[in-house]
Amino acid sequence: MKESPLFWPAYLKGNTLFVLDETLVPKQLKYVKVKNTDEAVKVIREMKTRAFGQFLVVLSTFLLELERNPELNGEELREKIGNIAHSLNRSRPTFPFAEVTGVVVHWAQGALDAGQDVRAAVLKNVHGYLQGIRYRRMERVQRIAANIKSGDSVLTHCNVSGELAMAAAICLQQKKDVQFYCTETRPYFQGAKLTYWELKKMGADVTLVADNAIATLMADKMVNKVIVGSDRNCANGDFANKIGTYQIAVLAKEFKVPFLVLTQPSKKIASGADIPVEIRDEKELLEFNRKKVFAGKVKGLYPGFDVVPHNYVRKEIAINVH
Amino acid sequence: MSTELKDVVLIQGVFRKDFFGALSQCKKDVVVLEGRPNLEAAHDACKHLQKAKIVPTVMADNMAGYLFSKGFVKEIWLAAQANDKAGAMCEIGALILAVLAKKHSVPVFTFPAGKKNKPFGKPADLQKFNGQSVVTGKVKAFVPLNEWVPAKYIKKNYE
Repeated sequence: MKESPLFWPAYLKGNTLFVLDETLVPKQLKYVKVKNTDEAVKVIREMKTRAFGQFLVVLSTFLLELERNPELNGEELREKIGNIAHSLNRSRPTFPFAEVTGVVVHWAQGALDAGQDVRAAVLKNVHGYLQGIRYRRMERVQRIAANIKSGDSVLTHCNVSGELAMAAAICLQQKKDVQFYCTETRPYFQGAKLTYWELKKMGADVTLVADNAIATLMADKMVNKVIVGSDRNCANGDFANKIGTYQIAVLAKEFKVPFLVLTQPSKKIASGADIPVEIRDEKELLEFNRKKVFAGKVKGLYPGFDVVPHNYVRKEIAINVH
Repeated sequence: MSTELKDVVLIQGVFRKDFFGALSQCKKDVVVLEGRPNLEAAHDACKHLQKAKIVPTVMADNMAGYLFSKGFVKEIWLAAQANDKAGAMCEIGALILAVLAKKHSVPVFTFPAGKKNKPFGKPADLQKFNGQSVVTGKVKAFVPLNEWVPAKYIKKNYE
């Protein structure tokens, strides 16, 4: 399967974690060197990595710290792992990092309680977990492609970490005639920079639209399907995703366009009302490339995410967690 | 950060100047959407609101839904370049607000626009933001600048 660089945007080499700086794509494919937990938190907080990349960085940070602290004994390692988890959990509020880091803490504690080698147990489990995720995402790419029919015109928003682009490549191999529209996705332009680029790189027919053009696309029947990702999922099917997703969902319902969402099923949070939405610094909206966008006194409000109620979702394309 | 917004009038488009005089009587928070691709609507609105001693809050075009989902939006004002019994021709993005307003039972009003747009922009318009490069190289883009808002979404057209 043809792989997008955004599908697996971080890797560990020796005692350094290399993280693709997604803010520089497509101008450069540059990897930031991460040497410790603080630096990992920084790349997450500064959105140099996002979506799946964040989870990969979270898990890889444990591997990194184990690599960099060979002298620690079992008890010290368990404590270290707890501290790493605590730091990562606080990096961005909307993401369920605690669900992932909690599993690693559990592995460390379990190994310690059983008198096993904590380092070996955690290394084995994290590597196995990552391999499992990789396999399941590959498998989901196939199911995304299966949900796209020849003649479809698909609207997407922000970026789903390589999966849609890889599904598009499969559609091309299968000789399906498919068009994609991707939104710019202000304020970081992940749609214009990442999604447009990776779909084009895969050979797909892709058209860029401003975030405010989605109603015309639907009213004029230029799209017949919406596929978006999700950053956090609830037991009742509600989900959080990049800001802008809610209005796409409402429009899709109004214009009877099927709305499909890629999910990571979780029962840890009951409904969307329980998801804390991160409000980011207004400067990220009111400045672009460090230059003020508006003259005079203005305020800005930048909610990072939307919460979408489950009744807008026609179909979930879930990661197989079993 | 303006997270204290609770009672919002959301405006969209380039309005005739007298609109801002009327808006200055309004006691609500005024939120202005950027208005891609050229941001003219937001630049123009911010300038006139500041003259009227109103500090506007700017949000990106994809953030209106968030305000609706929180129940903060009380009125929508759209700049209409033309209207008749069937609806109004407004700047791109207006139909998003109209549909959100219908879903959240918020009234939509139109007021005459201060300018008329061409129907479409150029793909190159999306390569830049505020005069600075977003993506390099040619892009295939669809850049409508206006859209029709059917009358069923509009409470009243003001002349």
